[in-house]
Amino acid sequence: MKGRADWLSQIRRNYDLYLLLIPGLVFLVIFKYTPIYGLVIAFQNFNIFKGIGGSEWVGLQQFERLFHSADFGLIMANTLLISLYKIVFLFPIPIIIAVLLNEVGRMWFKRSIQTIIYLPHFLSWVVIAGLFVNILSPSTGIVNSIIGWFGGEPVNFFMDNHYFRSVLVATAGWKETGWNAIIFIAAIAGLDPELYEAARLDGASRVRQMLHITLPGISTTIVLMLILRIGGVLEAGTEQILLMYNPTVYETGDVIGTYIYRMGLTSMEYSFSTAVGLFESVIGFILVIGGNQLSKRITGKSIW
Amino acid sequence: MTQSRSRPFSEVIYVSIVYVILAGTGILCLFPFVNVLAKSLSANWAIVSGKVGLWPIDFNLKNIGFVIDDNMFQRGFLISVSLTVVGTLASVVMTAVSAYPLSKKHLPGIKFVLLLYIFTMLFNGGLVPNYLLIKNLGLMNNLMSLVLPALINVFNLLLMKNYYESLPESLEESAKLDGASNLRIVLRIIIPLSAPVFATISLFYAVSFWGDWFHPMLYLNDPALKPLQLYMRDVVLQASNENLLNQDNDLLLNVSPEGIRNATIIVSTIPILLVYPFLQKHFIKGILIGSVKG
Amino acid sequence: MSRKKWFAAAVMLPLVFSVLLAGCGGGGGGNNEGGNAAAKDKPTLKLLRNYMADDYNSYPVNQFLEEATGYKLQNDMLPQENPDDKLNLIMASNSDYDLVDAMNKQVYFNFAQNGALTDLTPLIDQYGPNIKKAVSPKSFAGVTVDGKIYGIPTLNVSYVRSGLLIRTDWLEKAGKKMPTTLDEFVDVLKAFKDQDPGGNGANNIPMTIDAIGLLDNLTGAYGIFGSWTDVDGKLVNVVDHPGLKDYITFIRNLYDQGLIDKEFATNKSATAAEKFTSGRAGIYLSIWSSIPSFDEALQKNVPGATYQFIPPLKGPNGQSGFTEIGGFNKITFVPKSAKHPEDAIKLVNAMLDPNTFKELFIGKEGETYTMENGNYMPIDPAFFDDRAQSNNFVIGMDEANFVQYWQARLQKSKPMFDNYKIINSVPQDQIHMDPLAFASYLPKYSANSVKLDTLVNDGLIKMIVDGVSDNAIADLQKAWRDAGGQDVEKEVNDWYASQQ
Repeated sequence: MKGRADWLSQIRRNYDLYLLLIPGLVFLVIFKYTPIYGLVIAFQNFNIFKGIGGSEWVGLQQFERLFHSADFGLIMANTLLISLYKIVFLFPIPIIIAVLLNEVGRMWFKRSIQTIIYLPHFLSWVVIAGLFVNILSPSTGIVNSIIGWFGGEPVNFFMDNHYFRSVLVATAGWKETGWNAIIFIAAIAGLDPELYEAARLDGASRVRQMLHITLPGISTTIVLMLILRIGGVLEAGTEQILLMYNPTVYETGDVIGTYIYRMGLTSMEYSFSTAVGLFESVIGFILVIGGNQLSKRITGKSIW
Repeated sequence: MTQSRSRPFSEVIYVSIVYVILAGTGILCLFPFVNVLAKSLSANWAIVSGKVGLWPIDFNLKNIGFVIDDNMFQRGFLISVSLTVVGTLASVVMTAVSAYPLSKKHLPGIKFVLLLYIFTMLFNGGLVPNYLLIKNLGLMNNLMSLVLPALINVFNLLLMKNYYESLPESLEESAKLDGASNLRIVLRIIIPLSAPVFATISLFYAVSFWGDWFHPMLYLNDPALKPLQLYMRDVVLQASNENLLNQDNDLLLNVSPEGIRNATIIVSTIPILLVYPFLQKHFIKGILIGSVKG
Repeated sequence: MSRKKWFAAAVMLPLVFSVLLAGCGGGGGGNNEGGNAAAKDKPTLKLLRNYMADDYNSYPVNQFLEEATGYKLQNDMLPQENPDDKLNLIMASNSDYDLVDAMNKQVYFNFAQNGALTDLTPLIDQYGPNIKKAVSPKSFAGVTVDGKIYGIPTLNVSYVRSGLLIRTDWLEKAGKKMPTTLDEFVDVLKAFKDQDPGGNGANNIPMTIDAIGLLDNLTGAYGIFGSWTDVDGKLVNVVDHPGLKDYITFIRNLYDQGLIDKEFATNKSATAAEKFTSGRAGIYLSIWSSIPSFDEALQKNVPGATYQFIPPLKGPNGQSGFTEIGGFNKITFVPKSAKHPEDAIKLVNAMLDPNTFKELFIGKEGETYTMENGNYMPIDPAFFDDRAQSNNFVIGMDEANFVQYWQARLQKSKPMFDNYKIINSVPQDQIHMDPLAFASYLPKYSANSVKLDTLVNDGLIKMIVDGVSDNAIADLQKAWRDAGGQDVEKEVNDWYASQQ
């Protein structure tokens, strides 16, 4: 009872804060929660002309179709592996870049590098895939020329199952590192300069300042980003892979998104694509909730 | 800001390594853009035969001129600029307002609202209900169909909330003791301290409004309303997507030459690139919390 | 000061924006009323068109059509990507379009079966004398569902579209004649590899292709013509074709001996074109319509380079030939919810008046084209500025004449026209029409054919790279059947049997 009275008084005291919630809630209801009824078509055989009311209910049939498709084991494994590689190798790099940029004293240098490294983000995968086919070409590509100088055999990166996943991870990293660093750069900019001042007076080295001020200062941002990133684990980069793979590397590169695309299941198979989306969402949601709880327990930091 | 006269040798090495790594990353990232730029300034024959690397061949401004002269380009440009400016302003205000109460996690009900938001990051109704919603709201063929559903991006909202949380609580408490209302605290203390995060989400919103081609494709049927990115995507995809052997011959006869395609990429990307340097000062200058506190 | 500027910008831009919005919203409404006031019997018609690079409403053909038919036309456009998805959404939410183009036959049949379309049979009888004259009964049969006509079919030109381009100057340098059999073909490739007539050194490529397993002309030598070939009166898919194993082994051997581009599986269309236009490749699988895009480049890179399509090559059993494609380019229908179904048909009828159709398609003699020896020759640039996209405007073809008109656009580039002629004027018995080009409603085939073709192509590419074996072929056949091929095979053959 006391708890409840406390509640009410808190709400009363902060009524203006609650008022601020209203526009956002209205937005959520209209644009996010009104259309969400559409998820039920995952359990139907949806006919767009009959609508949800008139379409036939089929229970879990659409999900079974996904799980029983010929290559489900392979594409699931590929999806998870590529995603995990991307997280393990690519998540830390933007943080490192942001931290290093913070170490730079010369403004012109800092500004130019910041501006340059986010450029690749703005080129679409169509353009970039074409570019890398040339760069990595076994006959004329620059990378293989370099391998050649050191006496190595040319590698056909796009046709070799040993290298294909690395190519995916490396190109994705190269495209998005600068862009992803922005969040961390901004977070570092929000740190109190007094902290550095004090550390310098104590004679702390640059490396120590980085380890004891910068990194802890942006740790909540890191945790936030990591949890959200893990929630997207089943999206391994469909657009990128579609434009980069070919039949000789399906074995290592075919993921849920590309498989569904190739089987023509995205187009007008509303129920099936919704079912796949729902599967990805549920897994993602569980991971986000789990990640948040885990982080709360281990680091004491959490999104909510 | 951290230049001392007598640096120990280890520090010099450390700083040099930092510079080398960053410069290397910078060069790697610059390469593709320079390549596209060089192509946009080259003759078509040189591009088609794969001769253009980092320097234009048969330098000319014809491609760029042709693109800028195009009616659909100009119209798309105007639409995209207005869309981006209006959308960004509206979204930043909406997000900043909605995120503040969410940063007060201890208040009753806040965590629930937060979960309501996060849920929508992962679950959405899909193509058909969203289309019907826009249709029923009467927003088809209306640029508002691109702005209203995008007013709050939950990711940006979380960034904002996260930043608010990182501000020292002592600031607000002392203001509260002085009898300031919550709204007053937001306006007078929180917002002035939030330049980096405002800059970040402004950038994110601007880039997403500018770059959105999917929703215009879905909600706009009138070719006169096509924003720049949809126009650019159409031009770029014309012949580069699948292998040519699957495409319609009549369509291919009207495909724009490579030089035009690269020029389209360049002129429709540069405007949004200019936003960043403009916002950049807020990323570099540390925020002087201390001065506000004192 | 900068603050002031900011403020000004913040005020101005929403203004610009709202003006834009008002302009668009108001424009649509205003048009309708204006149209009604001006000509009571001729409303503004709303058309939903296929994607094209230009804006329909400001393209010269639209103005011509408005003048010639008296209707104001408001053309909206489907997107370039996944147009069917969008069309579905529009049709499912009661669109008010009067005429809608469908590129995909399946989509049209699906709408018709779901009761979303207006039955045009009585309207054409009443208002469409020109339509009846222009469109053949055979074409109408292809769009008939349960005895009713729901759409106006627009015919495609039937032609052979791809073949192997060969550098004839390389042939000469290597001292070889144009190959006529597969053996001679291999001989030429070996000569290209060993003699390096282009002087490319390590970068010499005897033959380059896209990531494609079925190579036109070479498939013909094994009796394979497209995905479905008539074998003893039955339609057989490539996977079950008796010639497949020999064919794919042949290609595999070329690859193995380094006669085909080692990187072909990763080639994007641009990469393969690049290799040919930079003078590194001697043979290149191409469609005739992409010739103008690389001809200039090749001449710049290798002055004096000459090339042409290789005529049909004879295989081990004496078979040879090309695959011809054809059928409908699109089907145009009137949704049930259309506001002006009768006027829609009147418009189409007016467009199919022989003179109107001709001017719509190629413009006026002396302005956009001239006649030379019975051929329509385009006037550059007027023809290409005003009529290059005219085929997108057409609804129904003047089937007796359009092929001749259409060839005017091929004159855009002489090498293209000449090479079009080479592969399209081979003896009729060496041109094999896709047997399903005019098939009526085949839902399983339409829904699965792209997927199945991809699956087959992927399987063939793997075999070319990794090697051919009976097991690999059996695996491909099984995968194809499991993915729906079996059902499609039955459906296609039931239809085929009913045609004979």
